[in-house]
Amino acid sequence: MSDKVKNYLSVAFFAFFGGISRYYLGKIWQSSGTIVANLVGCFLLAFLTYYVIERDLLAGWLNVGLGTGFIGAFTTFSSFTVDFMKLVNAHHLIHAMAYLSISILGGFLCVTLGYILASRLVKKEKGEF
Amino acid sequence: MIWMLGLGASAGACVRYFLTNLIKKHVKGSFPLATFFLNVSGALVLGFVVGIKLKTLPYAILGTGFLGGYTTFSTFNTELFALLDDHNYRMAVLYGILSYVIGISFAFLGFMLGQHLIG
Repeated sequence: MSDKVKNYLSVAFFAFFGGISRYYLGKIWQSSGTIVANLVGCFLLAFLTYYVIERDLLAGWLNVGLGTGFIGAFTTFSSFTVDFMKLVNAHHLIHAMAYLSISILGGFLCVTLGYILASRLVKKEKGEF
Repeated sequence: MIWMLGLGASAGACVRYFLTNLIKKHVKGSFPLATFFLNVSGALVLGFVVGIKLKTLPYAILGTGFLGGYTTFSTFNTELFALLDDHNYRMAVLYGILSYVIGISFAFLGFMLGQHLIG
């Protein structure tokens, strides 16, 4: 199997579970489910990028499947914008502002945390700690 | 039903993977155009889908599944972080502001177009 085909199959396979996981979080917590998926996904993708991929721990097709497939499909930008719009349209403005700021600040913060954890582990393993 | 949503997410993610590779191959520069394009176009279409009041099952497949898999919040934030990490502050601010402002505006725009269409 060519690498290209392997990567696409891997993305499709893992995205299936990423999408379903997000759906269940939404069922439990409605629009907060999107926030949880998005923030957890930000942390995981940063950790994958700066630790797992950086240290070359997994095969390339697995990195693509987990990153682009699972985490990419687990998080969503479209539902975030539409959830915000629904809150504005329902005149829940305080709710809308909270949703927006938690997503914007939280998303960036979670990437930063994933990066910090990853770089600490990398340093530790290289014996710099 | 749930497996259909999963297949929608698989299809959305594959289209995202394809378009990302395609755009990155042809467009050079530090602005993450691929993710930007995917996220704002996905927001427009999801707004539209909500505007036309799609039924539960097709909404789950197309909205939650396909468009959820097609757009991504994690890659967007990781790219934003990478730009700042590269000290490319202007590009980071531009990318963040454009994604949020245009993404949210497009969701509203799509929604209004959809509502207009079903009268």
